Amino acid sequence: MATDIRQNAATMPAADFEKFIKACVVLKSTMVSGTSFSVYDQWVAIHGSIMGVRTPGSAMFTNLGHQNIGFLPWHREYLRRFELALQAAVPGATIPYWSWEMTPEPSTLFSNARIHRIFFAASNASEIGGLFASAGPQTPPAWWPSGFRWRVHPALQVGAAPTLRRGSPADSWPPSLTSLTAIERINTAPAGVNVYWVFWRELESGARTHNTGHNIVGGYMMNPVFSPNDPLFWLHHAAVDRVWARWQANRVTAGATLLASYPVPTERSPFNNQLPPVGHRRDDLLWPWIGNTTGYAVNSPAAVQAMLPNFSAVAPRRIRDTFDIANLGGGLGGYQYT
Amino acid sequence: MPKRTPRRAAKSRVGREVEYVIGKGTSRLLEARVDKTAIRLYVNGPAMLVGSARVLTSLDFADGATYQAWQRLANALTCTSRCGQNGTTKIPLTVATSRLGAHLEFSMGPMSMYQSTVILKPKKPVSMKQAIDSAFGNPRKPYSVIIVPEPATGHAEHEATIFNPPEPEGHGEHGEEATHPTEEHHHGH
Repeated sequence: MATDIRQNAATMPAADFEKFIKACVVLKSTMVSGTSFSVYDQWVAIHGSIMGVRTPGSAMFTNLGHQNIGFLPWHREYLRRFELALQAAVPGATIPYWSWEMTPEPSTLFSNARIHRIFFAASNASEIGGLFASAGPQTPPAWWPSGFRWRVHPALQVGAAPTLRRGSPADSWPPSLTSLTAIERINTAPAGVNVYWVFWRELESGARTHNTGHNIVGGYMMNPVFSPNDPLFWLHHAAVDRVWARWQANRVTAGATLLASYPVPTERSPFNNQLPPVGHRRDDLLWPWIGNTTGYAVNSPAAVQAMLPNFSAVAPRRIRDTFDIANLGGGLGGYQYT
Repeated sequence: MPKRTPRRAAKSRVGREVEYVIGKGTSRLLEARVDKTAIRLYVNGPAMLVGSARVLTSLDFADGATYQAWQRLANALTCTSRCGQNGTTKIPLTVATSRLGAHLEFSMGPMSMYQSTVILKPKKPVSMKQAIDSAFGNPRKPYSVIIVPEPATGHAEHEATIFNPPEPEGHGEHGEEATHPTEEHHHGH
């Protein structure tokens, strides 16, 4: 399997970006046999269900994809598998990354030529329109499935909103290239604390990073459960993953290993001296890619759970399996960023 | 020697504001008496991780930190949440009293698992320092005014989904983050 290249969504060739959009549309318009939901909807359901997973022997449902150190590994695995699904639909498609430091609008990226507008710093959310118009695109591309309209499945809706909307009064954006570079170079932590804690906290929940990006887009992107309903989700998380990959490369350059750049399973949180939840630790399984392991449950609604693919035939994956993007193993190949 | 033209200071919004991130492991004392026209708070998990904030001072009441001064300060400031899920929300600044005296309190706005932006700024075109000093009667002694974020109560973020799972037994003594049992009753009535 050749190494895939994820490109800057704003500057990549238009034809390459179109492959991404086309692949998303193919997955969205391909119904899972005998059901009312599409292949794309299944990916949204996975993200929705990661919000509350009960691991074997636990009494609690825990968010295994957010708000703790497993945030980066889980989303890396999730994005890579989605990318391979895109390639099954449109060979050569890859997930572009949102170059966060760019001025968002006006831009080609946030226009109907690419991922469509975000209505930056708007008082209210607006329908995206274009390819995602409620009535379907006025001038669809030649490859557009006849009669197809991008609609949010009822089981994956929030507030009964069937179409994609964006727009948020939050305007704390963009981050500067200087600030992003500084994050990629984070290399110090208090004694006894793996520096990953410092880095992860900044990337997921710092100023003008992951959480802020969701906030300034609004619409479904601001709903943590069903944010992948909006295809901008993939570009945003590719940006997150790219910062992690560049940080990892800097760590290796400084003499660390990829393995050592993640807390050991016995390291307690510097916030509360507790071990991270099961599912976030280095050697833990990555739900839902748990193979035949039993004892897991999710608390998403039944209609969402019904969308989840059966991954039992997939070899189980662990947090540590995600550390090397050039060689992910498990048949996932590898990728790199421009 | 050629005359040098002085460079004009960049009038960027960022330069006029101070930004703080509130979330796991972040600082719990945030300087409010700053020579900036606004304080921008990046609030992670409003109403889920971060519930509210108190504003406290090192001033004694005899030096100006009276109930009336706090009320003047509350009247002099605006507090607004900007959220991609809930839009713009005005947040009231209230003067809270306890057995020890008065202070300001404000919430962090509507609930969200991601992040909202809360902006605290004077109603008039003055700096936070000027607004605070004016409210407290321009104290002569050095002093601080600090914002103290308070954790949210109720469902911790790891259990708070839109699916609202039933309360587990022993709620408040979570295996992962047992922070609830040690929370203060910060109203103190």
